[in-house]
Amino acid sequence: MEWLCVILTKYANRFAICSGGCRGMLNEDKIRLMNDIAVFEKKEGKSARPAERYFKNDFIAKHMMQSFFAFTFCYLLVMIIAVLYNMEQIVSTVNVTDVVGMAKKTIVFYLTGLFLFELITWTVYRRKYDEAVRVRKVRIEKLNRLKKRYEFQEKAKELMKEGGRNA
Amino acid sequence: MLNLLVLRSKLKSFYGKYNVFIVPAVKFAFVLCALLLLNKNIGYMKMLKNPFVPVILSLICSVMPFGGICWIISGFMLMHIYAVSSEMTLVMVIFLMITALLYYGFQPGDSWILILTPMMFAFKIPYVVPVLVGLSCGMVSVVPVGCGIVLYYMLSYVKKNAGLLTNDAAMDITQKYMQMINGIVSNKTMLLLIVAFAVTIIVVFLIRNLSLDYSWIIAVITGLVALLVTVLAGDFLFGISVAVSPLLTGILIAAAVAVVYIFMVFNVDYTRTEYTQFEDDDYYYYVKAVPKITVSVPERRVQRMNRQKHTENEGKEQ
Repeated sequence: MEWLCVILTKYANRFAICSGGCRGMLNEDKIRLMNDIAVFEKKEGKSARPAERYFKNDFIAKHMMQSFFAFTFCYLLVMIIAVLYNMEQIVSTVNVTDVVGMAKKTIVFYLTGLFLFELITWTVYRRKYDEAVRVRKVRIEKLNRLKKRYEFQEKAKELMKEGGRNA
Repeated sequence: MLNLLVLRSKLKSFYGKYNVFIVPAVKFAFVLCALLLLNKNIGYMKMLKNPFVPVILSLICSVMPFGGICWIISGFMLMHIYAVSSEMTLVMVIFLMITALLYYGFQPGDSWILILTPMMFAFKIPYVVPVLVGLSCGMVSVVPVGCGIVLYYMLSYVKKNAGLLTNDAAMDITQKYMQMINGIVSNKTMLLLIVAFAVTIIVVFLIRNLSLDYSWIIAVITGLVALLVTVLAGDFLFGISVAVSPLLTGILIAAAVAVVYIFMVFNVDYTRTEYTQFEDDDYYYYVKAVPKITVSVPERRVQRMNRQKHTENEGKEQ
């Protein structure tokens, strides 16, 4: 969609001043519209990117994958601290069943935490994608309005020319 | 009141004109303040205590986004702590990495709160944070505020126990870790403040979004009352002592700051509220329109008396 915006903006910049009924006059209506689009692009353009680059499921899956690695890494860091904190207890534990019990606990905590974190990620990025779709829709509407404005002007120009020839 | 409104619109137009310079200047002051506070409180590395280091780092940070600023300040802080204890540095690194990976992946724009919270604690006005965050951010900002409180108490632990933590202290490493983690996690005041700040942020956020007249003012008052009640409840129920006079003074300062913030950001005239109702194909709309208070800056007219011309004419007459 960005290419359309760039083309329209360039086109608009070239013709906004010299078109619009009378030559040499600024077309305020069109300038306002283009300015509106440019400001919107600057403020909200970033949040529309996911909707332009990914399908919804791909976008969510990508972030869920990232969350998996982030959570696993953080869990390992927490485990380092936990091991350092309980070092004496671990060293004194000679019983194999206790070690197996601790390992089971660790895995259960990891899986529960991972499930919750993935759930949060899924919710957050689903919402982000929906928001991106909304922003994209608004932008397309604005661009369409600008496009219609140009079409109207072109037609008006042609009619003026025809009128001049007939006269 | 009118003068204040004029001042507000002047400030707005001034910001609009010079925001290219104002934003880096504010960032510079913010980072310099943070680095000087770190130097003052945990300045254990002599090399970083040279006043040029904070100034140069602040200059670099003035053109960086807050995410990058956060990393630079964290690096500065970790270097100071490393001069005291490598074990504590490891704990801090792990805490910061967990915060960065688990929270800032979702909400990268909030990183300034993580720096601001310990700073406000250092300035003895911590209660300003939950009120301002509740007014300006969302409910999720409870997380960086909580992390900021933990960071402050970790730093104050380092400051208080620097002697025990020093690398050459004759103590077993495992004992050191146990002592450090116990000292941080078992700090009941820290836990109480995390809960109190979270309650305040949620209360302020929920009330300010209601369609009530004076909702922002009501939100601030209710939030501060909730803060006071939570802290006092912690005192009565769990015996966590919090000094009352600094608490009350802090709450009053927070209220004053909130009033200034509301005046600058959300200044509306509820007496001119209009209610309207209309419909389209899909919905009925019940709209409440509250007008903003705006004043235009009075323009100064300077009348010039053209003296030179006058004297010339006089000369001709003579």
